[in-house]
Amino acid sequence: MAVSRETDVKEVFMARRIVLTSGKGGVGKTTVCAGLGIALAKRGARVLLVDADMGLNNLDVALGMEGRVVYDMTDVLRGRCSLRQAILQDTEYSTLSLLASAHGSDDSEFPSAAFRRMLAEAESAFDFVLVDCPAGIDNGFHRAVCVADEAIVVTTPHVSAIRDADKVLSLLETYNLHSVSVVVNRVRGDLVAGGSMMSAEDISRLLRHRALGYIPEDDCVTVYAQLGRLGKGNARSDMAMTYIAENIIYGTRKVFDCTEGYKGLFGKIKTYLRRQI
Amino acid sequence: MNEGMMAINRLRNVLLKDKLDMSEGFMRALKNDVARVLSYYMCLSGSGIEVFIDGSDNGYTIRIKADANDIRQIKAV
Repeated sequence: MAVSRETDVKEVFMARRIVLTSGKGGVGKTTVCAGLGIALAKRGARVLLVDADMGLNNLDVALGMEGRVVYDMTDVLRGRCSLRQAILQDTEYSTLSLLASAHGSDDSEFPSAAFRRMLAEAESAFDFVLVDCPAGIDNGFHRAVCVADEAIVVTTPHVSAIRDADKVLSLLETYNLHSVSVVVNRVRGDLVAGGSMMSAEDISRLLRHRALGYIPEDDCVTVYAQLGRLGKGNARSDMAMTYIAENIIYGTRKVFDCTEGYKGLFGKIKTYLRRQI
Repeated sequence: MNEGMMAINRLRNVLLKDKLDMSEGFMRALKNDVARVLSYYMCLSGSGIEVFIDGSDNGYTIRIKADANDIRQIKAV
């Protein structure tokens, strides 16, 4: 199936609001949000990334747009600028845009209703609105989830992260969402192949939710993220992100095999060398 | 058992414990409802009901232990 032609995308897409949440901080939620936005935009989808992490926002940094932010969400809500003025377009992918949040702002300034109204105004111009939810399950979580129809819970293969993801999944059942799925980030394929770590499949089975995708641990993410160039290389994680984007667009269930390259004799040698290094 | 399997078992126990602790009185409510249903069919003794829940890959295994003095005579219509 061809997925890169813009015409295909426009025939299949409806405006969809997806919140990315996790419960625990530091699992790569913002990185996944940015990477997924880029992967969707590469397929011609009009994507708006919304940083709902008031006060501790970093989505602009992940996308390398931090130097271009003039107006943010606070300015829109206070009437200092129009929503159109606050939305930044990516320089490389014209269909990718960002609505930045204010750094160091007071969380209580943003009532859920105002946030919802603001996004309702924006969504008509986009195929996807991806909302980067703050860590935790307090007001910020509620505000971000309230505007979404779908949720993606991001976790890592660590017990504490999975435990928090499970709590968030239980909490999401009380919201009116028509789809909740799981993305397992930073999977160590070498450890999984050697039986030393639970697999991403095990995790989604224990969480009893559909796995939207698995993303391998990838040094390229660290390197590109610090340069603000996520998704612009040719890393394994980019391939995983592509699968997730296609699963979202077409409802397919293709997931990246994180153990690929770590099976067989050469895989064992590679695993051994990785551990030695 | 390798480390991966051990981690799965540990995680399963953690998640199960969290689920049971999540709503206060969950076990009490479950026991009350089970006792009510069983009492339609049995004359339960006063020793109470015990409920054991274990997690498995496909869901949960629920074991109920109850003592009864007699079975009620039910006539099906």
